[in-house]
Amino acid sequence: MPAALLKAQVDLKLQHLQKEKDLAFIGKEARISLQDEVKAELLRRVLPTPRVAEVAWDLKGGLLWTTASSSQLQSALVGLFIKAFGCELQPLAPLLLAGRLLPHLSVETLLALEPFDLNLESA
Amino acid sequence: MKPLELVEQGRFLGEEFLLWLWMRGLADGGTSGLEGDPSACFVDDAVQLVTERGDVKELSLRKGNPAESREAFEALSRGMRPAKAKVRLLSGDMEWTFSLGAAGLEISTLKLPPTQSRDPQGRMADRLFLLEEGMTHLERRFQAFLSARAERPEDLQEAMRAWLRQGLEEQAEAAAADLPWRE
Repeated sequence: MPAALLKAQVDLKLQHLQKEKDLAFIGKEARISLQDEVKAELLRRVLPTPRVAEVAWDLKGGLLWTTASSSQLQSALVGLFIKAFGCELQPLAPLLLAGRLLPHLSVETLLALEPFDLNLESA
Repeated sequence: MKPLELVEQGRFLGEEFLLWLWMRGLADGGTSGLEGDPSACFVDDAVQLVTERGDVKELSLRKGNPAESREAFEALSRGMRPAKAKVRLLSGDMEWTFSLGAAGLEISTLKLPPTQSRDPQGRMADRLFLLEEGMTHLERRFQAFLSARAERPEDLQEAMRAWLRQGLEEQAEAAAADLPWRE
């Protein structure tokens, strides 16, 4: 929903309310609740925009590929996946991938790794 | 440990992996160093460097050849670390390009090699195969990096520092040769 449209509608409602009740000022709480009301009203009128994220599930490898790159879309996918299949998705970040690719390396060894000092100015 | 904590804790490994790919791309023709692996991998024309110290927290180098630039080597030698890089992976006549993030090794803007199939199903199967193929090349490299990182960390750190030093020296020499008052 465009922010400018929301603001314009809220301003309009505020003006109406001030005139109607002959108020000089409207408090912050009333302003916020009015904004929520307007937002809910506008949301009912806005057409939903579909967004498609592709998913490929490698059942043998236990991997899920997805084109959902935004964190919002990813968390929606994680939620839906738990609901639909009862499986929790975990991002294949370096440490998790390391455990998967090099199972002979213990978790302690991986967790004990310290970042390299590559700052030549400190030498 | 929660998954997000694991992501955060392993961030430095992703950064160092990007740096390793960068180093091997310039110093070893992009090879993985593994026997029988003819593929090559290079850092392409976009690199994002980050640091938590200093006045500049993020540096984006794009277009031209940032991987060999003086700006990049100077930033790395001051302790900045790669957070994201555009990577080019070659195997035979196939080429994959994508942006690789260090924190979660997440891949974006992936361009797969062209497929031969004409029907949608065949194209989908081809693309999944190519996706898997490209990721296998990348995982093989990550495995090679991790082995060196876990088994010989001092050697790898010294190799990276030596590469940075050499890169800085080469850039300084190139800059000195380009001085306008020098005949």
